[in-house]
Amino acid sequence: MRAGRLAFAAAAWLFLGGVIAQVFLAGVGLFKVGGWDAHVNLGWLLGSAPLILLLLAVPARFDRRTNGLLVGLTIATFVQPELAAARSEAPVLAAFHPVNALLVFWLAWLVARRATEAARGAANHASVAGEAAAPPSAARP
Amino acid sequence: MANTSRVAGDAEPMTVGRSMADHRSMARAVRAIGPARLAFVAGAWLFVGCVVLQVFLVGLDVFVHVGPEIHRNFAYVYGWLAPLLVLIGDAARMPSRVRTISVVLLILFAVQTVLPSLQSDYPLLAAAHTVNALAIFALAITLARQSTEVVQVELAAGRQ
Repeated sequence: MRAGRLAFAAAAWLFLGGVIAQVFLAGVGLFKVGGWDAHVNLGWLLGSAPLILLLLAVPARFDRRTNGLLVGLTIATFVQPELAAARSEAPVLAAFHPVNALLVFWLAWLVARRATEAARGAANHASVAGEAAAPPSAARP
Repeated sequence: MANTSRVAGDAEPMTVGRSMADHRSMARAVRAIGPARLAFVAGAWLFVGCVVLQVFLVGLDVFVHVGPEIHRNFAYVYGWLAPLLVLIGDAARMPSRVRTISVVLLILFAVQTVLPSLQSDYPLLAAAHTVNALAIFALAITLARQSTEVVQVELAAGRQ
């Protein structure tokens, strides 16, 4: 479980880093430093990343709140490219694309923090259990 | 059913007496917290709402082509909240971590207003305008949540 939680936490922080990079690439497009291609391509990559997080969450066995946040993150991330794609039919709806980006960022931050806390908790639990199982002579040389 | 529970011999439902006592203790607790702290919490959440609206205005510019002026002008409408939160936080004697966040938020907000003007000389720095917006959002929501927790703890202590 500890290894699973560590792997999940690493993946969650990586995803958060990807979200920050994606927002920077939006700035690159907005301020005409470059085109929008990099933002669009990374967007498709990030769109499928929560599926990997969901798979990693199975062995990590998080509490209900963390799992709920992860489900929310998955939904918000799936919706994100669809909002941008709605620009011609429903431009006002598409205008929620950057607002939903804030939601994705906030949920990714919460999930990464909670996963790190859970991984630390599992590590502490393992060390306490190890000390309790060790004979007194091993604990005090 | 639970709302009208009675004990033997009571003429009135217990909830009536309890709710009045609750209201009195709540009023005492709110008075003890003081208007400055309540104003700080309200201002912090208002700032979060304004940041979200500001980001929506960017979306309107990009996808509906309403022009960047509305986004630019709105920053001056709610921007005064950032220094005001620093002042109210000091007057309300909020915990030092909350006051520190409000000062950092003010600095980031000031930086945010400067970044777009660097577009011609330092375009990559100007592009960081969007990332700085994320930092402002994260700090604003942290400030709002932490100040709410401070008031909630005091509210609970005041009611005891």
